[in-house]
Amino acid sequence: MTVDERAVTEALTRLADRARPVDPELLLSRALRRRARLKRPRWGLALAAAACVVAIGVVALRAHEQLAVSPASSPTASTEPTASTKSTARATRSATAPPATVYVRDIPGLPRNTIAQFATVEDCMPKGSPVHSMDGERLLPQYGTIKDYRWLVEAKDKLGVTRLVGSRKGFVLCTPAIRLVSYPTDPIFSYWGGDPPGKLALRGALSVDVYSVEMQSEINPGRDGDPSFLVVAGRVAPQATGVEVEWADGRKMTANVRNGFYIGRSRVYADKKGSIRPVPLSKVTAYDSGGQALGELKNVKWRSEGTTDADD
Amino acid sequence: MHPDDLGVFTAFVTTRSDSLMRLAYVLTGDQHAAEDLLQSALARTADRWRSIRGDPEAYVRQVMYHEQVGRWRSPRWGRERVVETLPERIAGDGTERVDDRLTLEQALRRLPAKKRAVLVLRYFEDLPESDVARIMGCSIGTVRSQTHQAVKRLRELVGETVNLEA
Repeated sequence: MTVDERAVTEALTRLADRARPVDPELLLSRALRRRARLKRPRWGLALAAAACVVAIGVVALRAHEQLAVSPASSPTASTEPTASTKSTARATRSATAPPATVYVRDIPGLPRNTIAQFATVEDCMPKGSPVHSMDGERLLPQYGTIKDYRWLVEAKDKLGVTRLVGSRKGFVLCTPAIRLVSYPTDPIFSYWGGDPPGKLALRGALSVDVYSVEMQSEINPGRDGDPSFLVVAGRVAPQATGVEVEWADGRKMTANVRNGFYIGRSRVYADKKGSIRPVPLSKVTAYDSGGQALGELKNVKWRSEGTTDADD
Repeated sequence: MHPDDLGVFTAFVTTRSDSLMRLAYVLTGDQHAAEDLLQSALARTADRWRSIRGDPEAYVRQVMYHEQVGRWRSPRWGRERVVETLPERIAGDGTERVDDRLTLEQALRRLPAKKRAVLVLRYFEDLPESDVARIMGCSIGTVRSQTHQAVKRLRELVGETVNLEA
């Protein structure tokens, strides 16, 4: 038996033909009744959310009092925190200290995250770990769980945001959306450098760890549909303050740099057939604060997310 | 819902319910589940009726796809369900052609919801990959791979059934 496009189309059409029509009036009344039920729990959700806010506030205050406290200005200093938050807190606390920001546990080599920054990691991996690229329901804890990841850097524009969230072994890209109505991208794991075991240490001044397309799902997309973006991201020397991306067709983009990581996104449109054909990157250059080029990569080709290893 | 909106919404449901029901059935493979899915999608649509720009049917369809994939994610999905009538037997009427058709339909019913949804969008709705990716909220590459995997799985399922009969 041949299973091809035609056979599948015919089988689906036959399946559809089996649907028994429903009484529109009955359908309408049931839908409206269900709508009323949908609306009701929102008060419950609102109360639960308020309770959560209060609880988080209490926890944050306690944490502020007891441990994991350091000045708000410290996280931008370096990609490698020199001490744990606990010892930093002891060293810097004084009677006149301004209200401090609370951080989550440090991971050596990754930027320190505030609770708010770490919340974006949780938002990115709602199931607790990266998922399989073919099956968003299949968790892959072998690539680490939320506690191993930190928010690294993000590219924001008027349409939305794409975040680079990483661990010591690799990273995921996250383009959030509105749950249950429009879907966020799945957290697909990639190793730093592309190959296992994935090492955070950077050789040279710059690495393009991903050059991919991210789609941002919206509730009511315009005529162009949900926007897609070419995303370029990776690691860069700690002293770099700027990364410029140039495509072979002459387009340019300035990426956001933070603590040794960078990410940039640029809107891209599908052709008439609905395909997106990414143009190679002609040059990616890292600059220091004086505008001096620290390093550059040329003719960078497509490097999409995901990894192939024993799991596949 | 404002009375004016209710009138338009009622007209919309009256005129489009058959077409939407067909889609719901293809997605779920079951009459009751299809009715439930459609009701749920219409409830959500009614809730946002005023803010929907463009074609409301496209909105309902998108909600149905997302709801169906979401339901599949719930722990209840995938368990055995009580049905009114027994499923048709594969070797029902003795003709190979009919057997093949039923085998393929049963294989389609056994596909995971996400994979079936991709096939429905690509081959039943005849949408380009970019539209499928937009609706499913994933990349075009994922659509391609999901389609490939779904067809591959279908072939395996069809093969399995044939082997079982042999």
